[in-house]
Amino acid sequence: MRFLLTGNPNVGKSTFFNVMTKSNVKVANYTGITVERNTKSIKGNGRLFLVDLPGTYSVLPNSEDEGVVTHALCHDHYNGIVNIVDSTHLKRNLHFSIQLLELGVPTIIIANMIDELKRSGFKLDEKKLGELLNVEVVSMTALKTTDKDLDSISSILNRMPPKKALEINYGDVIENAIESIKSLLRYETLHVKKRWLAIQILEGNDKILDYINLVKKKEIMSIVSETEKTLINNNTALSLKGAIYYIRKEFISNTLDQCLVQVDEKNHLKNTNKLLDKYLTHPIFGTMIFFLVMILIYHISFGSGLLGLGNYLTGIFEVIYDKFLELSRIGLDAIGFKESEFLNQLLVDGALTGVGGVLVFLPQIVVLFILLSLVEGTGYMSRVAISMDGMLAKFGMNGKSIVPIVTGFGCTVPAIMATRTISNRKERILTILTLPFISCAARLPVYGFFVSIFFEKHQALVIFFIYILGVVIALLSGKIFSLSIFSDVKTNFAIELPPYRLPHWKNIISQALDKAKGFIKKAGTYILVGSIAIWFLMAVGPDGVTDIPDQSYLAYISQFFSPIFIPLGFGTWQATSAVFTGVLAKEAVVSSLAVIYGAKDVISATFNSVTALTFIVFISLYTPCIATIGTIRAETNSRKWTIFSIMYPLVVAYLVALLVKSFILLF
Amino acid sequence: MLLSDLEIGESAVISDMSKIDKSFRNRLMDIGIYRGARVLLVNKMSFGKMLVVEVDDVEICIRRTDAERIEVR
Repeated sequence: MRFLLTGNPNVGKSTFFNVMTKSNVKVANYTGITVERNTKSIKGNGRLFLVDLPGTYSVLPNSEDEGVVTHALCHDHYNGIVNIVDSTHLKRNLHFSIQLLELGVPTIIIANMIDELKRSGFKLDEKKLGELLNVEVVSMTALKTTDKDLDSISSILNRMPPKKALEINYGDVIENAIESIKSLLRYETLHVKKRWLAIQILEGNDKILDYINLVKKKEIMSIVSETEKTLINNNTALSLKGAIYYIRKEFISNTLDQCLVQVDEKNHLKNTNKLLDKYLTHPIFGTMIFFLVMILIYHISFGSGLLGLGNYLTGIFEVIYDKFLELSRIGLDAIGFKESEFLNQLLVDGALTGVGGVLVFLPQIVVLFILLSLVEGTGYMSRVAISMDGMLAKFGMNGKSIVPIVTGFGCTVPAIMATRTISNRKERILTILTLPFISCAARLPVYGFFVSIFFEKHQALVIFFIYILGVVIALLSGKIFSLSIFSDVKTNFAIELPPYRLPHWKNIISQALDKAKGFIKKAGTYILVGSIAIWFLMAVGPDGVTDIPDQSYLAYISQFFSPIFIPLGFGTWQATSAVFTGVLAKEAVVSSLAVIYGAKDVISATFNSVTALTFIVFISLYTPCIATIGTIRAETNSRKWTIFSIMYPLVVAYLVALLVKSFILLF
Repeated sequence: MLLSDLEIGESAVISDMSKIDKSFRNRLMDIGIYRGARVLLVNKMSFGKMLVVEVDDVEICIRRTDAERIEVR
């Protein structure tokens, strides 16, 4: 049996999903975290499945993640709906619940964060609420879920009886419109109730209009506009949506009067801590604090010295891995695969060297992800969004773009998905196109590899420069876009302030482990296959197996393109092949170079500090990886922008690298 | 009077939002800012460029420029 998990943003939906299914969905104290659909079975009950849908304030598709809910409700096969509500904000949460209950599908309402409601001096009569809404209501605190809660929810889901749809009287004007639309919908194939469809259409759910056939669409649209006109003339509301909203609001406040009782005279717990907010959102202090936080995160992950945890761990990994390579070589030799033979070399110099070159950076990446989710869990990111809004607005974005940007330091793919909270489509595409310039964790191995050879004394400084360069190029691109292709974008901004909360260690650790798993998987698949392929292409040439790499297929193919990079100083076939493989996955740049050159001292003979810097500048900015391009295609739904996202960074990377090189050579 | 004219700690009822364009107005309605709602100005941030208002126990931050297009009573 499948159940759709729905609710407003930031009500603990993902936390609930995780405790019910024991999985590691990303949880953060920020709205709009669930952007992909995720289906998992409930713990101890393999027959019950939960489908995690993105959080939304309304069934109406408002910003792009929210169209998913309408689609799921109309087209998915499901046996019921699980609706999570925040008990402390029922007045607003129930608007969405009503839209769901009007469907007449078996539904359970989970009143989450019940402990916070108690602390604010209120008591919820969940039985009464269930009676008034004709639905099962269970109150809980998802973070403190016990096995008993789990069992009782499972057993309710197992035997959810069909219920009559909730029917609210919307008044004569709207009710008449509902009836006329219903009669036009007589032969519709959608499996949901017609009254629900009619109400949704009247509210302005465009998605549903797309699902019904075109002939009726016109007639329906004229009913909608007629009704809206009548309501505006009657001075009922500014819009149809508004009129429906007010009637539901009335219904909700009547309902809550009967089941929400104040038992204790307490002041409502303020979400905002005035003093903390004052400094964290201050345009100067707030920005400074944000940069300090980012520098600290950066330093712990990549820096050397006392706080450089990531760097320290990676150092240990490197030593272990070198030993492992040596032992594999000897071991293979001992069992009969001679060190000079093809297979031994393929395994050790091809596969293991390539994969290892990437894998040693695992600790740094795990540390980075732990710190990023730690910051996201506190509710701090909303404050950053506020303090950065003014600044980002100057670059054609809004404060909310800061969350994708920060996520982008981890991985560009989820960063692009996180832009769904930006409600203006053009503003969103603008942000998407700038995100690949933010250096993701996959590019870190490339920087690490080169700085450890050429800039031993100033490792952290050089990497810091590359990161800042990425941010600057992203902002400048935003500015250029907003002045040219997106000059008509109107930015708007409204953000809910979540309370400050202590992040939960369990969530953070499990997310970090998840990320580590993904990284190892990538190393074991893409990077492994890529390394073997590169090694193979290098060992074989037009004349058969060759010991001279210059006569290999790889050299022949790459030589054709390498002249392009001569102005940048790395016009060798070796560097060119690395650039190509980097489009598969950025880490592959390192694994390719490791396979091609074999040893670090060979690289230091081919590159010098200037070409090395030019090379990493180029790598940090050029065409995004396949996974990112695919995500951009899916999210923008536009071939034009996808091609743009491939070409624009290539040109920018070339020009900036050329600029950096010329600038250094001046001195 | 405009929403942006409120002092910190002062509350009022929203009387008109027609100057805000429809899609953003719908967005505001979903998060809880609608005509007839009682709003309390909780805080001003970023040199007064950002206003935190409380509506139905939810704290929402909007730009001052948008608050200047909302009439209150």
